[in-house]
Amino acid sequence: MSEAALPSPLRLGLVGSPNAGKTTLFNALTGMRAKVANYPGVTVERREGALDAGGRRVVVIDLPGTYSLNPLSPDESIVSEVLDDAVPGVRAPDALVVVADACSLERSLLLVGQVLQRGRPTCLVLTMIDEFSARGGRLDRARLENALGIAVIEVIGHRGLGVDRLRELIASPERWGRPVLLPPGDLVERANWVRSILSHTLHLRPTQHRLTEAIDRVVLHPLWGSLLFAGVMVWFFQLIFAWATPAMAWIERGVGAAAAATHAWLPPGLLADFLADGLIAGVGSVVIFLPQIVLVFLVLYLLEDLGYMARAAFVVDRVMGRVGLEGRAFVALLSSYACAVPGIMATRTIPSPQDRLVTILVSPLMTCSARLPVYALLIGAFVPAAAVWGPIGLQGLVLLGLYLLGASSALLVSAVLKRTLLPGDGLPFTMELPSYRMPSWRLLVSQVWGSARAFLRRAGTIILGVSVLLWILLNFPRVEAPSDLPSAQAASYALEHSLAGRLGRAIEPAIAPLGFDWKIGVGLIASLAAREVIVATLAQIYAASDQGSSLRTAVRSDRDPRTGKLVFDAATVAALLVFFVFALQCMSTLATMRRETNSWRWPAFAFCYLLVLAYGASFATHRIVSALGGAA
Amino acid sequence: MKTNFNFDYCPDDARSLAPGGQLHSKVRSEGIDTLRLSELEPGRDATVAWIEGTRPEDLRLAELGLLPETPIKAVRRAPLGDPTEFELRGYRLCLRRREAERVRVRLNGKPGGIPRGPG
Repeated sequence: MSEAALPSPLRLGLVGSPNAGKTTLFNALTGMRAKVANYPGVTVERREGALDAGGRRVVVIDLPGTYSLNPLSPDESIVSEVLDDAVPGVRAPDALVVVADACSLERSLLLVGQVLQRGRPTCLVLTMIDEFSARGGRLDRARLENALGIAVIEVIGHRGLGVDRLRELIASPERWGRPVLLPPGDLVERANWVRSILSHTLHLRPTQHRLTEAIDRVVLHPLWGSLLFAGVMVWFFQLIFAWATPAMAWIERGVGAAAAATHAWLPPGLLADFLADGLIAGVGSVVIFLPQIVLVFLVLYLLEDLGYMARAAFVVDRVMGRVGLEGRAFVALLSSYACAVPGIMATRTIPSPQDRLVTILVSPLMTCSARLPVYALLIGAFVPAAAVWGPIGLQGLVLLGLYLLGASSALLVSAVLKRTLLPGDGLPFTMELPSYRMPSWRLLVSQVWGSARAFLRRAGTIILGVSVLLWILLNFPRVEAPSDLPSAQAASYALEHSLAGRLGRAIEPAIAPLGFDWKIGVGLIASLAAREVIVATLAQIYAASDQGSSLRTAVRSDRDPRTGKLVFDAATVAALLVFFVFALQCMSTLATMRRETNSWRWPAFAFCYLLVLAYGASFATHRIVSALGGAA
Repeated sequence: MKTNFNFDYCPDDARSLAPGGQLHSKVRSEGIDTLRLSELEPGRDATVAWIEGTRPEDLRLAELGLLPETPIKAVRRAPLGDPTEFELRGYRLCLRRREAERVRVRLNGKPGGIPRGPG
C-alpha cells in the first residue's frame, strides 16, 4: 500500500473480542455522542462517533465484538464485510485499532493476526493493564511492538489512562508501523506464530484473578450460588417495583398537571381536548414507564459490566437449553417481567440470531408491569380476599398463577418455535466468563442514557401517532348526549356512540364466545396501544372514577339490559384475565421489536400468534369455567 | 432475517483441521491416550490434542484457543451439571457437553497449575 495520505474524515475501525473493553475505549474517544443505527439486513447495532485528533476529524466505528473474522452467522459476518467494503452504504475503515484484553493475549493475538492479514494500517491497544499487573503478568511492550511490527499502546480504559497517547497515534495513521511479514493464514500456524511472539515478549503469564476466583467460589457454588442467584433475581424485582413507584407517581402527577394546564390555557373545545386528553395523556401513559425502564436498564447494565450476568447465564443455561434457548436468554426474559422493552433490547447479548429472535418473540408473554393495573382491578373486584393458608390469600395466589402462566407459556412457545419455525442455526454455545470488574460509571450512564433515549424517541413517534388515532376513535363522531344526563354519564353516552364504541359493538359477535360484551370490546381496542389503558377506558364507560372502589362496584353489578345476566361473571373475568396474559397489547413493544429485528415482519407475526393464543386460551377458559358453574 | 446463511470463510484456516492435516496425524501417530474434554474432571489439567470435525463450528472452537498443545483446565460444572467452565489462554470459557465432547485432550500427569512461564 502506498504512503499516500489517508482521506479525511478518517474512518477508524475498532475491532476486538467481546469483553475486551472496546466500548469503554470507544466512549473514552468519542464521548457520549455516538450515533446508533442498524447495519442493513441484520440486527447488529452500528455505532459511530467522532473526535478531533491532531486537527483532523476522525470517525470511529465501533464494530461488533467478535472472536474471529470467520463468521458463523449473518450478524458476525458484518465485521469482515465492513472491512472488505462489502456493506452498502458503509465505507470500509481506513485504519484499524485492535482492542485486546492484556490478560487473554494468548487468545487475542489470534484475532490480531487475522486482522493484520487485511493489510490495513493497524495498531494494537492492550486494555485492562491494571488487572494484568495485579495478576502478576509481565509484558515487554516495546518488544511486542517489534515482534508484531505495529504500534502497541497500553490503556486502562475506564480510567482514561493511555487514551491521550492513543489520540496522538490516531492523528497520523500514515506513520503507523507495518509488519514486515504478514502472519500466517492457517489457524494452527497462526497459533505457532502467537506462541513465538509471546515467548519473546510475555515474561510472566497472569495468574487467575484472585478476587474473581473467591467470588466465584460462592456465586457458582452448587448450593450457595443457586440461592444467591434466586436472591439476586428477587432483589431485581423488588427494586423495579419499589423504587420505580414514587417516580412513576411523580410523572403521573406531572402528566395530569400538563393536561390540566392545557385545559386552563386553551379555550374549551376540540383543540384543548385533543392536546390534553389525546396527545399528553397518550404519550404520558407510556412515558410513565420510563422510571421502571431506566431502572431495569441500570440493573442490567450494572450486572453485565460487573461480570455477574455471565454467571447467571451459566447457572441457568441447562434449563434454557431444554426449551431450545440458552442462559443469556433467561436474563432478557427476566427483564421483560418489568417491561418487554428493555427485555427485548437485552437480547442483544445472545449471539445466535435464531435464539435472539425466538426470545424476542416470546418476551411479551412475560407478565409485564402494565398488566398489573388490569389484574389489580379484576382480581380486586372479583376474587374474594379469602385466606388460603396462613398469610397466603386467594388473591395473591391468583396473581402468582397468572405470572407463572405467562412464564411457562413463554418457555413452551419457545420450545415449539425452536422445533418448527426457527430451528437452531448451529451456533455452538460458547460464553466467556470475564473477571469481575468495577464498572465505569461513565460507561454505565452512557449505556443507560442511550437506551432510555431510544425509548423516548419511540414514544415521541409511533406512540404519538397511535395515541392520536385512539383519541380520534374514542371521541368522534361527536354526539350530543340528552341534556338530562349527569355529566359523567354523558361521557359514557358519548363513548358509546363514538367510532370506538361502534367498533366495540361491531366486534361483539366475535368476542361473545369469550363472554365479552361491547364495553369490554371498546376496552380491548383501546388497550391495543397499551394494556393498562383498558382500566381508564372502562372507567370512562362506567362513568366512574377509576380510583378504588367505585369502578369495582360498577363492574361487579353491571348487568346486560336485555338478559339481566351479569356482564362480568366468573367465566368472563377468568377469560379476560387469560386474554391479558397472552395478547400483545403494547405499541412500545411492537416498536422495539421492529427496531431490534429490523423489519415489521416479526412484530406482525408476534401480534398475530399472540392474538390467536389469547383468543384460544380465553375461549377455552370461558368454556371450562362456565362448565364448572361459573356463568351467571 | 436470513435463515439460510451461506458464507465462505477462508478455507486456509481449516486446512490443518482436516483429516490428514496437522492436527489429526501428529497426535494419532504418537499413540497417546486421549479423552474427551467433556470427560475432564473439574480440577484436572490437560492439553488439547485435536478437535473432531471440520465444520465451521469446530473451527470456532479452535479460534477460541482450543488448539493442539494448548494447556486447558476444567474449573467447575454449573450447578445443574452443564455447561462446564474451562480455563485456557488466560481466560475462562464455558462450553456445553455437546461442544466439549468434540475436543480431545490428553491428561497432564499430576493435577497442578498451568505453567506460568511463556511458551
